Amino acid sequence: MHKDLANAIRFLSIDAVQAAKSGHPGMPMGMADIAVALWKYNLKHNPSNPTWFNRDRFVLSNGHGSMLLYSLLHLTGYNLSIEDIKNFRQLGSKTPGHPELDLDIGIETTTGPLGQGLGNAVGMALAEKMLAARFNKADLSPIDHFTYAFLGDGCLMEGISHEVSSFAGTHGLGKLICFYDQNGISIDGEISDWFTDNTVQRFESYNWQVIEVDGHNIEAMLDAIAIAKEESAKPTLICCKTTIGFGSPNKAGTSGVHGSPLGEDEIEITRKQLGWEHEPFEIPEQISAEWNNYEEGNSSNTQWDDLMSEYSKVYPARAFIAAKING
Amino acid sequence: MANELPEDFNHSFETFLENLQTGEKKDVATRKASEICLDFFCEKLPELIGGSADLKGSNNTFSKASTDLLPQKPEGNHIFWGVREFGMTAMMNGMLLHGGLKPYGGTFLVFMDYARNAVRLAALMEIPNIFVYTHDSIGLGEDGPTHQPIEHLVTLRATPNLNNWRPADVIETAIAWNESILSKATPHSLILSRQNLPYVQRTQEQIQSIHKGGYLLSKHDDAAITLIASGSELQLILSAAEALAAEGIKANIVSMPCLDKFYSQSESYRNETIAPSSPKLIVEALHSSSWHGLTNLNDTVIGIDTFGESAPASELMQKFGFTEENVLLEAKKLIQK
Repeated sequence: MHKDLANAIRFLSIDAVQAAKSGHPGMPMGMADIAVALWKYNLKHNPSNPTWFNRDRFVLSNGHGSMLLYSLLHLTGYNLSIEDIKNFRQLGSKTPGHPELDLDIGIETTTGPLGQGLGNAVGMALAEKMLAARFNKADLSPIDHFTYAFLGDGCLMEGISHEVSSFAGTHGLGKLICFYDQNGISIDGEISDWFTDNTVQRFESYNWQVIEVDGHNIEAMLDAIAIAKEESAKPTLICCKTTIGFGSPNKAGTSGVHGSPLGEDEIEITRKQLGWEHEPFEIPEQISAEWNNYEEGNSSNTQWDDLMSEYSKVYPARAFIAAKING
Repeated sequence: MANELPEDFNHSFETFLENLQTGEKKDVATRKASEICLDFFCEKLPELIGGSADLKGSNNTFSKASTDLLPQKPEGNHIFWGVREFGMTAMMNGMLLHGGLKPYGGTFLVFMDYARNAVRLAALMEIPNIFVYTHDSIGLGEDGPTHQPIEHLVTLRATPNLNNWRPADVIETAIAWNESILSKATPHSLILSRQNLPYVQRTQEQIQSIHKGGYLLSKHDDAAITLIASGSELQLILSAAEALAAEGIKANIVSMPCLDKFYSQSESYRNETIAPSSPKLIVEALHSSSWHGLTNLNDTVIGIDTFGESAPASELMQKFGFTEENVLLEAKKLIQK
C-alpha cells in the first residue's frame, strides 16, 4: 500500500506537469515516500477545517515541488479537486506554479524563493513555543503542535538557511522537524562541484539533532520522525537520501527531471517501472480512501475543541485569548 | 485566528493621541517618537511582539511594556533576532502566518536590502507585517554612505501592496503605527529618523487627514506654489513657506508621510490637496524618482540621487541641498518659470 500511496503523488505530479507542459516533476517523484511517512502517519490536520488553530504546520520550502503539496491536499481531502490539479499553472487556478498562501486549502505560506520557507517554519515554531509559554497550564495545553518543513539542496545553499537555522538551534525549537531532500542535484547538475558542506556537522553545530535515513524507506523514516518528536530541546533535521525523479528509467538522478515535463514516452515507461496502471489523473478509490484524512482530522479537531472549552471554564481570565485563537 | 483588537482600542488610541497634543512639545527623533507610541501599543496589545536585528537601542523597538524573549524565557515579548535581517523578516512572516501574535521588527533602512525578498513576500501574501526602519537618510551622519539609504524607499514604494510611512513628528508617527496595527492585508514599513525633528502644529481636521497619506498643512486659493515633503524635510518647507510669506508669496504646504496611501485616495481628494496646475517643489532626502508620479516636467524635486558621505549630519544636509536657503532658491526659480 505504501508504494501505491507514494505513486499516487508521483503520477498526479507527473501528469499535471505534462498537461501544463511546464513544472517540476523531479522533486515530487523523489519526496513522495517522505510525504507518505509524514502526511499519512504523523501530520495532524483537518481538511474540513483547514484553519484549526492547533494543527501541525507544514511548509514546502522547496516550493518548486508544488505538485507534491497539491497532490497531498487533493488526496487528503481539502477543497482542491482533480479539476484544480488539471489546471496546474493556469491563469486563475488554485494551483499556481509555486504554492501561494491559501489557508482555505491548506497552503500555509507562499514559497519558491528557496530557503525562505525554512525561515517561515522557524517563525511558526517560535510562535508555537511563545504561545505555549503564555497559555498552556500544567493540566491543560491548548497550544501543542509540530511545525514540519521540506527542504532541498537549494534551500540549504541560500544564506538565509544559516540565519534561521542558527536562530532555531539557539532557541531550542524542539517542535520543528525538517526533512532535507538530499538528492545531490540542482538545476545546473550534480552539486558536488558547488555544494560540498558537511550538512550533518553544520546542523549539529547549530544545536540541531540530525538523523540520516534512506528517503525511500518509509519504515526508517517513521522511526526517525518518532526520534525527532521525542527530542524537545532541539530542532531536528532528517537528512533523507533520495533519487530525484524516482521511477523514471532514463531521467531519475539527473537534473533533466528537475524542471521539465518527463515527456509522453518517458511517462509510459515510468508507469511500467513503478507498476502504476492507471490513466492520467485517475486515482483508484481504495487509494483515495486510504489517503483521506477527513475523519481523523475531524476527530483530533473535536478533541481539541473539548479541551478548549474545558480550558475556558477553568481559566476564565484567559478566555479572551481562547476567543482569539478559536476565531 | 480572529485577530480582533480590544473593544476599547480605538477610544484608547484617541486618548493617547490627545495626550500627545497636550503634552510637552520637545524636538524628538521619529525613532524615539515610535518608542513613545510602542509604550502605548505594547501595553494595550500583549500579542504585539517586538524585535530588532541587533539594533534594539538604535531602532527604539523596546517599549516600557517590553521584556526580553530568551531561549529559556519564551514568555518575553521582545526578540533578539541577532544580525539577521533577512532571517528576521522571514521568521516574522512565519509568526504572523501562524497566528496569535503580531510581530514588528527593526533594522536600519539601508539594511532593508538584506531582507528585501521577505518584505516582498509579505506584500504578496497580503499579511500585515510591520517593519521598523530607522536611520532613514544621510541625516544619520558620520557612519557614511554604507549606512545611508538612498534608493531604498523607491524600491519599497514600488512594491505592490506595501504602505511606507515616513512621518515628520510624533503625531504622524502615532497615526502611522495605528494604521500599521489596524491593517488586515497590507504590510507596513515605518521609515524613521535618527535625528531630532520639531513638533508640527495642526488643526484637528488636519490630524484627521493624516491617515490619507498626504494632506494640506496650509492652503491659499491664490497660492503661487505647492511645497511637498515627507519626514525630516517637512520642517524645511514649513520654514521656506514662512520666508516666502514674508515676501508676499503664498505657498500651499503638503505633508506626505505615506505616498502609497495618498495614491489610493480619490482623484478629487488628490487634486484638492495638490492642485494639478500649481508648480510643485518636493523635498525628500532620498532618491528623487519616487515622486515623478506627482510632477510635471517643470516641477522640481530636491532629492539625493548619488551616494552620501561620512560627515556630521548638518554638514551633509548643507552639502546636498537640504537647507531652507536652497528650498527657497528652488521655490523662487520655479515660481519665475
